[in-house]
Amino acid sequence: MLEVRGLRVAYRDRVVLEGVDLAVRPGELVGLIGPNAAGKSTLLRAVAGTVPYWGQVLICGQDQRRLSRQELARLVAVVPQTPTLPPLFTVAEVVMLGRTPYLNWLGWERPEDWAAVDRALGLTDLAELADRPVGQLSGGERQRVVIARALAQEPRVLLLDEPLNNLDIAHQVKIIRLVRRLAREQGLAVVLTAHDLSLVAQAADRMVLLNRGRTVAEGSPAEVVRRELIHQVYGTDVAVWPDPVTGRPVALVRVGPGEEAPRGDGG
Amino acid sequence: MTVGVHGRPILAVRRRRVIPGALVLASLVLAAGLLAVSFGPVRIPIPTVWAIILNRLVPGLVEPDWPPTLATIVLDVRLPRVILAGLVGAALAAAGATYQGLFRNPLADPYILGVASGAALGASLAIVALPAVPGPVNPVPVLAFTGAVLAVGAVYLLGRVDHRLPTTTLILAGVAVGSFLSALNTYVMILGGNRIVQVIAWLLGGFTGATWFQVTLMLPYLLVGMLVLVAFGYRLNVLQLEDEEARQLGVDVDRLRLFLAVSGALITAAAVAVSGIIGFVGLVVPHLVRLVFGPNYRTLLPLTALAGGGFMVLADLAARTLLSPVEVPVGVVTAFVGGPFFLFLLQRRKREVF
Repeated sequence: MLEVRGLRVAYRDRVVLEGVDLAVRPGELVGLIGPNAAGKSTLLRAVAGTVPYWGQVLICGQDQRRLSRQELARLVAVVPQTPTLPPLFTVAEVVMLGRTPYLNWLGWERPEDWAAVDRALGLTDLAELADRPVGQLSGGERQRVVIARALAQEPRVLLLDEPLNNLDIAHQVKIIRLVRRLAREQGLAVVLTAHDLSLVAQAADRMVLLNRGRTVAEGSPAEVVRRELIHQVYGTDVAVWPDPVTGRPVALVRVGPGEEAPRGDGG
Repeated sequence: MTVGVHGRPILAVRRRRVIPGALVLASLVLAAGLLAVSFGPVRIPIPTVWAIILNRLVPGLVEPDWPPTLATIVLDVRLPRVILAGLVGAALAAAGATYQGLFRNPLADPYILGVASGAALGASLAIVALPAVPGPVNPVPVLAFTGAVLAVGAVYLLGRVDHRLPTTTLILAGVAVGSFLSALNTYVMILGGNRIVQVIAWLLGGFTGATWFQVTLMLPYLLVGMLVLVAFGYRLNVLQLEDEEARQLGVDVDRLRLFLAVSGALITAAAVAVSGIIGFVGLVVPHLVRLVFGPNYRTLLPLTALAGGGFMVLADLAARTLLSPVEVPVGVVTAFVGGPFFLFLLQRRKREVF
């Protein structure tokens, strides 16, 4: 479905990604983790065709570079890290923007476009809010609107760049369950980046750990979320246990005693 | 009606209901037009206006019971003036809506952006330096268009900061380019010698002495530009997103911007070529329409053109009747309404309602 081979991205002389491989099957949810500036977003942008790269990106077996922007937008949808939501547009209008790659040059919406918007709103549980201006929505609702917009593109590959940021734990769970369900039920190949290792480990089929533009580890959550690996990459001490229910790794960040207020030394 | 995922109809997923409102708006514009033809130094009752127009369109349909002078006033004096005002208003308002969407900025309009000044400079050059040629190859709109395109390009390049176009730099660039071009324009006028009177009369802006010739002069440019804008208007919705998001939705952002900017310049130039500089219509009207009909450019562009036409017809009516027999330049009337509105928008901008 999605295959990335030997990906290299450089901005002027700064190398952001170097020799990254990634393969995502239909129905699979891959969690992409790594410190800030590891190259996670850049990897998604390369797949989405918005940064130039060396190497190869195959989408449904087709060379991404040979696809037009419009064809690509029908196969790959992105939920950006900081999406723009024009505040006076209604939820339905924003989701309809996801149909852009399907509209003819006059932009007439056909019944199947409305049906796709309808399905996307149903999947993201937004039908009740369809006529509300997006400016009035809460953070969790806004995130679902952006996911619905991506689903309206009827993509085969869904890329989500830190979709859990700025959400409370209830909404984080809601979003990640939605994403997992979309992979399973819609057969989407999903790549999601996030900072919460335990949360990603709970939901992802596979995880990829990036650091300084290279793949450091790849495999099941238990293979990637390991204490020494995390310490090596983040320089942060974590304790990792298997979740007694699911067996998936849970990473506890240790703040440690650190530098507390210095004791008086005889002063 | 579409059916939701669980088989239940989702009534909520519909377009905004704009058609009833649009029909009301269209009737109001038509009424404004009739009123404007009816009023003037000679008051002509609206039924008579109707009858004269009908008789001209379908000869013999109505028995003429009016003096021929009335027919001349309606058909050769007031009707071309009202139609020209309507077309110019539609052009400026649609151009304003386009630039607001294009630059993601509520304060954009062809006047503030200096596009109108560019068109004016081109038109002045044509009036001063070239002989008048009748027909669609008339040099006035052609040079006006060239000037408008150069101005919008200059403002875009000068106002851009890191691929974005913030309000402050946009307005600064627009004002700077506009003033520079206006200064050039003045220089051209002085060089123009005895044609200066002609240029000044035209530049003041307005529809005094409007003829069918001016209507046919601007119409081809207006039609082409408006068709492009109405057809591509829905893509302005996508341009409300960040460029990268728009690209991820399959839109070639740079080409679309260029295309829309040139179309906006085309209709601005068409308006300026026949009526000089009339400010604030392009700023005020799109916002009023947005307040009533919502921000979706698919409906916003055609409705803005319609409302802009009606607004300009009424402004021109006020311009020629308020202090009759003295005519106020119509730009004074629009600025009188538009100036305070501009300040109001600047205030509101702080609360990010665009």
